[in-house]
Amino acid sequence: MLSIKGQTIFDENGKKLKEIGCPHRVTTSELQRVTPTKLLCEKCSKDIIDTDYFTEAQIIEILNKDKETCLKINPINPIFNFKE
Amino acid sequence: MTGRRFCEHYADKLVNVITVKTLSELNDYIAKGYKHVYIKRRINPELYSDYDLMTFKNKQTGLYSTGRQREPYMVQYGREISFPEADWDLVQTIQPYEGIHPETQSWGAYIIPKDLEPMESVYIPDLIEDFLLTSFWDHKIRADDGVGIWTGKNIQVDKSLFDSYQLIG
Repeated sequence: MLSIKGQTIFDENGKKLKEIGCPHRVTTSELQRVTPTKLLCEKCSKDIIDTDYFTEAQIIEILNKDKETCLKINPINPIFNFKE
Repeated sequence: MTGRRFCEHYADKLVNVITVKTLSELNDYIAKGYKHVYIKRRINPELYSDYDLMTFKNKQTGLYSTGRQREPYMVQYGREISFPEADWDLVQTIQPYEGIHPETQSWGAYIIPKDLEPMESVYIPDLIEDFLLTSFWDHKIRADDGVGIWTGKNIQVDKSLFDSYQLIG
């Protein structure tokens, strides 16, 4: 399970994977779906990975390759554990 | 899937609005001098699921079962199920509504706290209206709580909070 504390994602060993934060404060309705698993943010013309459709291992692999990858994280997704 | 409370952290910061769902409760508050907002509940089309729920009857045993399609598909824990025509009759297909259907609860009322000033923000622990909070796969999730503004006549629910529920970045 991936943990999210504040704006930071950690793997199950407590290793920091990424700081989540959008300088444009983009919201879901502003994103355009490009493929079932990818969304486009028109503000930066960047793809956003829809984590609803990825496993925990896939997300870790994506972030290990590029920490700047933008993610959409649904708090209802059971692979994420939100901590106070 | 059931709905979700997502903004309970506002409960300590804002005045809380009480929701009532029976006439006796509503009349009690009116008799005590409270203002209220009566809400006629409606279907929100955004809360229909993206899948069909099919009921099948086994031709041999006569027992019923439910599924999403006749063709094989995966369910939880990697299990595959199917309902081939040779073995199963289709009884009915419905598109589930994942809010609270108005036939189940046709109205509700918000009780306005006596000292609440117009344009003041409120926390609503039990939303009467059906709003889409988020989707997960083919399920739709209802917002069970919310924040709104007391206009003096109505409570305007802040829909922008639903849109910022998912984290992006």
